[in-house]
Amino acid sequence: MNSDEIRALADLARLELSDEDVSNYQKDFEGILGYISAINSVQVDSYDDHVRGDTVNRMRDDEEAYESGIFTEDLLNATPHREGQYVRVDKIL
Amino acid sequence: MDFRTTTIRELHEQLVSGTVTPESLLTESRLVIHQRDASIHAFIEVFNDQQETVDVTAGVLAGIPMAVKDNILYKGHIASAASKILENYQASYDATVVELLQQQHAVIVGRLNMDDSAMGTSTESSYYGITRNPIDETRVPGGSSGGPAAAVAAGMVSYALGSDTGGSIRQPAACCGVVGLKPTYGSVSRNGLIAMSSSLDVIGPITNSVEDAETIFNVIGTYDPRDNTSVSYDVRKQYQTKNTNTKVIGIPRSFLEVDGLDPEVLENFNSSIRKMEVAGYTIVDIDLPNLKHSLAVYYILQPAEVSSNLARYDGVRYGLSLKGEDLIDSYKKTKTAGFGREVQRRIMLGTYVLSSGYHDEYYYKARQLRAKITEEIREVFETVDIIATPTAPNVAFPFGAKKDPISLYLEDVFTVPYNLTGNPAISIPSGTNSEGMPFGMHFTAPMFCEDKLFEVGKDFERAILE
Repeated sequence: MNSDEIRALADLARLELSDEDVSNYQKDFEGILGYISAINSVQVDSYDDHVRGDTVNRMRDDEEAYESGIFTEDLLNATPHREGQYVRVDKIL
Repeated sequence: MDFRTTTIRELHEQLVSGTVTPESLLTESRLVIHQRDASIHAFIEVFNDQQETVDVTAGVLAGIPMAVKDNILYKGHIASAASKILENYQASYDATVVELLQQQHAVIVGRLNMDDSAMGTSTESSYYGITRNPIDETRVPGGSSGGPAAAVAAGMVSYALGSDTGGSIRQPAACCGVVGLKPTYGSVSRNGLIAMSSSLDVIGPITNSVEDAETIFNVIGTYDPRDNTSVSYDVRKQYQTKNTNTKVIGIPRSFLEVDGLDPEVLENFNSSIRKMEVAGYTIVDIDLPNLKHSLAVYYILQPAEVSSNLARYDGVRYGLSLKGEDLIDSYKKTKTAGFGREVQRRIMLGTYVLSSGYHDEYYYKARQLRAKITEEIREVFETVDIIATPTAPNVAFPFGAKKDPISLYLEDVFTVPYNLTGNPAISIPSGTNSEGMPFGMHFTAPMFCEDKLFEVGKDFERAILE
């Protein structure tokens, strides 16, 4: 991976990198990608991806949801920028 | 009274008969913490808000001091996952496992150190400093549940709860000479566990004996509708109806020949297995051709899930929040300041393997192999009752001895496969090397057959004493 690719990746991951970070990641990734790429040589002939049923997403109906409001105060209190019953966020548009 | 040598059942009997009191046990716990934790640093925080009156008949855990890994929510207490990003995060609710402990009047004495966000095998990456191995304080306690393993090994508490995504209960248990159980995926509720890799994470106990691990599992291994991955009792029973004769141990011989395996570890493993043969077990070699790919598969799937799961730390909902020039800049400043080095590395890696163009090559291929490995394990359990390997390729190593990521990742080579497959597994002390550092024996059982692990594990504890 070149330094531009590392920087693009950091941008996607919402991380800021120094020049030193970039060269460290290049070195780390060379080793890690070298290790994990070994699986590309393994032949898995048309194996059903979903053979393990419990790694699929399990959905539930909304009817079992909690009683409305019982966690509101606790969760609002956990937010870094609370204003009354609202959470202040940065301007998006 | 010594927590190291007294089982939970014995403590419970003594409490009920009045030979000891909850107050005396809490005093003992605090005394050992006071004596040893200044140097060991198993605890990030010791709580001082324990209930004054404990009904010792409320359950087998009533009145007995324990502690939880710092990624398990205990309402009103900080749960930081040993990261900076959650430094001041107070749990908004109790984890289901904490509720179950409280129903029993268990005494929670504090929260325990771990690798930052549970990523690591040495507890060296905690934002709050390292934990030392109680057996040799110049060495790591393993990780990521290094705090829980060290606290139990030092006799600070009777038992602890940890979490295991790739070996994070079993490997530190082996490093510290205690027992670590990773229950079957879906058998213990993860409601209230700070999520890292949702298809792999499991909560489990670190204890002084197999019997204690069984005692704790019987309390926490309940179905929970608040965890969508919790498995119903009916489904568990379908798995449990299979073979009942737990006397055949399978050894994946070719898998044991990994790079970096300490010859002493292999020697100890072979001699311990011979003792099981003497104890009446049949030992057979088994072939699991794709097992050797487990670690590579893990280091694709795990970072992929990390990069998705940790996206939630945006500085808006909870945790650290730094202000940037605009929304994206605020995200970047918050995440860069809040996540440790290894966490950032895995987020980057996960983002890479999930990105368009590489998704098929890495993520999809890894999922296929995971399915293949799962199938191989399922099939091998038609001929054997238990799979045995060492827990880790090395005993606890000195601080700073392993610096590059791959060498740390390799410590989980024997434990990772069963996070991929979901099978229950346990690490049990298996003697010590010439320097007094403990080895771990690792047993794996069929899905939802923890009872087999306990049965074989107790036989093992007896066998190695002889």
